[in-house]
Amino acid sequence: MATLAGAQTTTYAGANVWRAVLEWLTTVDHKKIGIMYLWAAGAFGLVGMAFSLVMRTELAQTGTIISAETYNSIFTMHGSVMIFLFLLPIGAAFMNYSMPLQIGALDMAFPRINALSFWIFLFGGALLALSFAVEGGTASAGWTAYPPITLDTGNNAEPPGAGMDMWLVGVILLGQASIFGSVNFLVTIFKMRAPGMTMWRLPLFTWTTLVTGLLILLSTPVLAAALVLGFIDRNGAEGAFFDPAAGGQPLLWQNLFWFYSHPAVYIMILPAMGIVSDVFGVFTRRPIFGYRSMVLALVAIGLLGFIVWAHHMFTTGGVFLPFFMGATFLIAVPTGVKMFNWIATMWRGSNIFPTAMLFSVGFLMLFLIGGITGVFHAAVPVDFALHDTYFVVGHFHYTMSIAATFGFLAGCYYWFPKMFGKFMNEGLGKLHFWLLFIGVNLIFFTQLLLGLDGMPRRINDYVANPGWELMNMLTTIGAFVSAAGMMVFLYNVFYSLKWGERAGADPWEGTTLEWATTSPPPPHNFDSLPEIRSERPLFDLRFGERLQDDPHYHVNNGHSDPKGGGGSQPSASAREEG
Amino acid sequence: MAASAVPHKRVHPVRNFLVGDEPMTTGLWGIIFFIFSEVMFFAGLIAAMLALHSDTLLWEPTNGAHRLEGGELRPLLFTALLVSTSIPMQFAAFAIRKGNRRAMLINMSIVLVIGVAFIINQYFEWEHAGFSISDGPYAASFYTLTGFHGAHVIGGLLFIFAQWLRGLLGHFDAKRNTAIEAATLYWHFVGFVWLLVIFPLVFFLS
Amino acid sequence: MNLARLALLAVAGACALAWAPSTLHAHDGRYAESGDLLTALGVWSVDAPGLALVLVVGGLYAWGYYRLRRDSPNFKFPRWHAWSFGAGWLCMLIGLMSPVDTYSDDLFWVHMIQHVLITMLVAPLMLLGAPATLALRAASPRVRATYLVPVLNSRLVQTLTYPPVTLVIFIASVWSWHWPNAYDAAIANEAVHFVEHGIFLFGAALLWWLVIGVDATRLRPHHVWRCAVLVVAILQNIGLGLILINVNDALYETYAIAAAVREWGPTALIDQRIGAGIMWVPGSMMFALAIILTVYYWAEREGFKDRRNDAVRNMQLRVHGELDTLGPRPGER
Repeated sequence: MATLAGAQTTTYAGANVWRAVLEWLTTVDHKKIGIMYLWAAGAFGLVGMAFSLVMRTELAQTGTIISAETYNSIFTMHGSVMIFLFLLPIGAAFMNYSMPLQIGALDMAFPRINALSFWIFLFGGALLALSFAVEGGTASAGWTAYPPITLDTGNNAEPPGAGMDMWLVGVILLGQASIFGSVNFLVTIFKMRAPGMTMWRLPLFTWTTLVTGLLILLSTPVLAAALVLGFIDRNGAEGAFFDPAAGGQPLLWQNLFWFYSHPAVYIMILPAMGIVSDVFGVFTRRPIFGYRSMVLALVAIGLLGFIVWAHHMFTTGGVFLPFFMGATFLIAVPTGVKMFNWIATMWRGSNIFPTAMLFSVGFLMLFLIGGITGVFHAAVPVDFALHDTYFVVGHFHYTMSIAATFGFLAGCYYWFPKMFGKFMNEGLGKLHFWLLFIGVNLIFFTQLLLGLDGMPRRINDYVANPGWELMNMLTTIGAFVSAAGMMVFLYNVFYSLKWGERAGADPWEGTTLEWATTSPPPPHNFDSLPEIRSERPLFDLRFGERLQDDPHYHVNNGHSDPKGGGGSQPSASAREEG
Repeated sequence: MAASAVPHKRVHPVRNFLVGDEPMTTGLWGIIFFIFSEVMFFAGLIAAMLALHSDTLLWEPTNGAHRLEGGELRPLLFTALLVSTSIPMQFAAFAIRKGNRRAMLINMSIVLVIGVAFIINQYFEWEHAGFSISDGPYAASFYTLTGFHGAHVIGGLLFIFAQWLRGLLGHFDAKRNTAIEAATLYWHFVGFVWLLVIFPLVFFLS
Repeated sequence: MNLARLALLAVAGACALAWAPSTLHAHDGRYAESGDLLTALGVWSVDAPGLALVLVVGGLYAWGYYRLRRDSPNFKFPRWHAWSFGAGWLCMLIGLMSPVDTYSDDLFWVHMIQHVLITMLVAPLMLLGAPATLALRAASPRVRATYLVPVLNSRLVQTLTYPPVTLVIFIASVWSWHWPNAYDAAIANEAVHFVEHGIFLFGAALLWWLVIGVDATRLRPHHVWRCAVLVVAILQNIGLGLILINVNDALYETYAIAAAVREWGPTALIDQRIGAGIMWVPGSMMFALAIILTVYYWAEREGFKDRRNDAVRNMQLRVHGELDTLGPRPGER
């Protein structure tokens, strides 16, 4: 356990480079696929950030630098790339890499389908990227792609061209990759757990993987249906589905789209929440507060996420308002449970603050602002006033974009030693954190204020207005500060890969199973596993004997009632483990 | 692995899908989750069609053609044929559970032949529909739903054909038959979607 | 033989119930006069079959509970079972006789509240009262041996409680009754209405029986499967609610007429949308709550199982020393 595995650190010299490349291209190892997801999603994320810088430069002052068409194209691709090519796959990256390690599995249940899913994702991403090269440019209808803007109705000055079709097909492919991935995650969690790793001993990140997988499985096919209809609408059906002039219904698209895209918000944020929970479990040196309530809150968030999608359509007049308002408010309850649990974990913990922990605390702060502004939006009257303003932009960036990104960055810093056997540089990491934290708050808090001031979103120019000009400038400055932070991060990654300090198998004194193997792990993950008696097997391994005499310490986390209230059945399912 | 101290109770084979008495194989878990996603896909398409039907002034094909001008008998017949193939497919699964590969292959051949006949019939349905995909919401829904269902039938047939070939090579026995079980479940899904959902909607909403 | 006799009895009972309301129905609920809440609260509709049903159900349970306490005081039958059944019984009373029933002939959304009460509260609360356990325990040995056990073990009950069959029955019962013709018929004829509620209660009871699992069924689904059943139930609920909320004309003739006749209350379309919203959101919430509770009890059970397996494992370790700790390999069955 203590030594590095030699097989993993083989260096490929000269002529062996091609063999190494071929090995990566044909790999079915979940760790390598996870790392490839990480690089690909990271690269797409930088591209998305570059788009945002273009937009912010345009909006820094009144007057235009780029044309409205280019601006439309850029903000569409910013949203699409960030959501479909960065936030969703980077979650998949960590799920691929860490989840099998956390449950003590030797690989995914279907390793080849796992590889297939990655290559489909890459192909879909390439399709989106290539749409810059075609006649008429990329899709430019926003990432929500509301018809009839996406259609050639004869009324729009510049009907969307082949780029729109490529966008539709590309996102179908990305969705298919997600579906294959989620099937794989679910089966892996249900079937591949190590002996003793029962469902209620799963690390919280694995639980989020499970719930996320279910969300993907239920919602993504509906998006695929919507995209398929959109594609047929543009090619052959002549607007019969979504163009009112031809008998279609634009609201139908919105319903189908948000049926996916509301749960998608949770698909993006839940893995980040899982990472943060694991990080808190390690760096507070305490078990996570309320493990079981965390899981139940997770399930509740996932369920409620399916009922409330119509709150994105309050102003369309096509939804019945009071119920969705009430149901949306309800989501704040399980989210609040999680917030309090994280805070309670830190409360009187022996907290230490390496960069991963800093990002987790940052996640809490950003998610708190995002969550509270979300409750604003759930109230119908407020939503009517703020719909389509920068307040919305600020809100959803705070939650699903920035908070999620902070969670994933925490994951990067946390699992980097496991992936590459080296620490990331702490000094650069802290610089990265502070630049990014100040930068994003500068961007999005001013955007919240701009929204309250009534500035509409999706515009490339605005009237000269004293408040708006100042705050837009501040936002742009924030964007560049954040970009500088990300550059520091990029430098840190390469610096640490080359000169980073060696990390042992368990550099953080972790509690979950991924730290029970070498860093990086051997291809088969584990040579042996410790006995698993709780959701913190490594903690038990380290302190179990010492603590066994302590009356306050319960290996099973103190579930005292052996009867179980639910079913009065003494069941045979103990045999499942066999 | 730790051998369980509790002896296994013999359970009825059907139950292992729904009770934790006998663990399901990874393949079965996988196909069940995958079918669930397919169900959601068709639910999306069908919800779209119902929504369009409930609220549009331009539902009927704009060129005035009617779907069932060619008579109802043939579509009904082929619906019955497709759905009834669930029975030989299930028999194939039952046969291989008992280790009878020959019976499995015969049953699967029946499924393959009828499935191909169904696809050919669908081709003629499209030929003689009397309207094209651009003739309004009904026409577009008709082609979309039958088209995607047809694609899934073809996919299912390829899946079954692959397993049929493997069976010819002697691949399955009473213990190792997950692929047959998976193909059976998938085929039930294809028939179910057609019988309960697409056939009544597509053929009687016009 | 016994089964046949029982089935005959059930059919006869159903016929009697279907016939009874047309003669015994005491209140004519068509077009309530006032939309005023206080007035509305006073309009109760006590009809004979409903009253009979409520009294019989409540009486049977109370009688069984009394016998259980008298004959086997040591049998562990927690008091919350009885409380829960009582709560369900109260919901049944409210659903069948209160102004909710009176106004359900005029307002679609009130009728939807009635259905939600029946399917989402009456059924689960009564089943949490463990009626089958109580019946088995309280019945005389002869009744138990000749009626209860054969019925509970019969092929019919086994089929009905097979999860896919249960789901299909539940979904079919809900969707078929929302077909406009069926719905209008139910409001027009009290007997049909009574049968409608009976079928709702039956379908919901089957579903909740599986999910709650307080009473034994022959086939006890694992908690994960219970959650899966509930997820499907939520999805179909959302689907039907979505259809009803998006339809742009009043589907149900009776309510369209009622809305045209009365001088208060919402228009037929708004009425329909409120009803659909009630079905969609509070209806789905109940299922969501059930899923969360199921997951919680799953955790409870797993905790118990975990400790037992750990004990077995520790024993094996003591006997055999180190064992292979690695789990299933990929591709393994």
